[in-house]
Amino acid sequence: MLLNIDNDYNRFRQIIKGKIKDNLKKYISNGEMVGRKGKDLVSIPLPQIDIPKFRFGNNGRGGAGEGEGEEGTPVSGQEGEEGSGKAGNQPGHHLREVELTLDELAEILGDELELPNIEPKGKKQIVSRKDKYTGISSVGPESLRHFKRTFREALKRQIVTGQFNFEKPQVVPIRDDFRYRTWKSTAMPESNAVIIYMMDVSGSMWDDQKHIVRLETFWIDTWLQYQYKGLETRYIIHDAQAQEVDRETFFSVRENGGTVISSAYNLCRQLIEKEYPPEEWNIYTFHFSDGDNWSREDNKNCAELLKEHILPKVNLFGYGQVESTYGSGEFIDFLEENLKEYETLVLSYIPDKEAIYDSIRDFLGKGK
Amino acid sequence: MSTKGKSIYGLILDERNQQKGNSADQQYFYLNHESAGLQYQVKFVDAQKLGIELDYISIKRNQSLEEVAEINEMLSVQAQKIQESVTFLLEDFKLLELDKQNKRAQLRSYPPYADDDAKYYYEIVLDEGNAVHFQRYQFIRQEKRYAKITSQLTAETFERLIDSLSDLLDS
Repeated sequence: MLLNIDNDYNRFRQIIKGKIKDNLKKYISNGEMVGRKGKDLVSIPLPQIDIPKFRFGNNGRGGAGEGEGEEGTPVSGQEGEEGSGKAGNQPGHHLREVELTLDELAEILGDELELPNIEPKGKKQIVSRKDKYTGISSVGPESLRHFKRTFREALKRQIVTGQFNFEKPQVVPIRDDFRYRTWKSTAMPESNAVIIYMMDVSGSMWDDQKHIVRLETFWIDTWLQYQYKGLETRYIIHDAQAQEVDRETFFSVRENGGTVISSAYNLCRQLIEKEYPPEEWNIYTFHFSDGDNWSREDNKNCAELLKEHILPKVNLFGYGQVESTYGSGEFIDFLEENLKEYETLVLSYIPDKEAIYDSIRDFLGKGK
Repeated sequence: MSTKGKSIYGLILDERNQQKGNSADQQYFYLNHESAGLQYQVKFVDAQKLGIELDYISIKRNQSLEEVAEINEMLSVQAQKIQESVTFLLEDFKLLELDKQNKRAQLRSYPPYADDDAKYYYEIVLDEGNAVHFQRYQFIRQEKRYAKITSQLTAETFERLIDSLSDLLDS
């Protein structure tokens, strides 16, 4: 019986996915292990995978030697010398890089963290029209004339009417031979979604904290891109002032200003009001900070902005508080005390890289 | 050499003895004093001849700066001075945040002292170029929050600290 190689390949993919799932926490905490390959692929190093291979048996090679010489005589005829090298003391590394699509990675993430699929908000579905060529017609615009079908019709006509000369084949279409492509428009409901990331880049947020944010956003992006096609992403940084930046700047910028969190929430509010009407968009907002806001007065401003302008409009507002070299501020406690009744607000404390795994579950585990 | 620290410490000891006389179970003592255009406020738990358990020091210059650019320039200079001169607390200072919009600078000891359960650091906040505030903090990992704590300083260290902070506002 012949077996299709697809069966083996699929079985191997299952093994790989199982291995990744088993080690997912490690991959989440060590983001550098997951490399991007182009737009849709990631490569992941996997240890301890035995690749199937042919092994040759001893058939025809066994048995006693019959040549000259005695047992123990070197084959080369010369005495062997002791080697001078030392034994290695490091374990061997057998890492195999496997490639996965981001969707496959998201599936693994969803399975392992038991993330519920997101149910998009009711009104946000936008109907977009998609055109597809579905048939042929005898009328239509010249730009859609189907040349092959037109010539085939002309050939048929000439043969049937006896006009076709096999000695000197010539096909000349007339108006009745012309054929045109026709299309059908179908309404495609789409769920539009935007992620607005905000990050505190004040002097107390150092590279370690930003690294945690980078890892966290990678997994959030992966999950939400899996849930929504056509996901937009916007980035806001803030110290005492906020500004919108591109992704690269978001993760690399260094500032040493103070921390006024309301500046970011204000810009986020403006962005939503101007470009993302909540009846058309699924809006996801995430803010990362060490929670060391400059003043209690600004905490109150933040609460006001969240209550009045942001929380009612978004699917989810995730606040992740990372721990800086000096610890962690009181902002997360303030939000917990003042806004706990809002279902769209999710708070997560992220003291170190190990906590990212649980933090992702905090943020995405509600299926919002 | 400035003698402000010595005179402030003398006043602290007097204040402590006087307030202790009024109420034996008093938990904190305050010194409010004005000298050479500077207002001092010191909150402390106790003070003896050799040392003090300090909560905070606040010093404010009566005269304030008007120009924002001048204030921010002053903040940078003051932050630099602290990093260079306040080196006697076993923890050096680092400028963390210079908020030009709110005209404030924040310095903390770097690296903070850490044990298994908590991190400890001093913080100096410079405000509008004419005020300085000194406080020690503790971050307890289990509780995930900061708390103000007291500093135990020898009399000599305290006096040097007062001198250094006063010099910032004198210049």
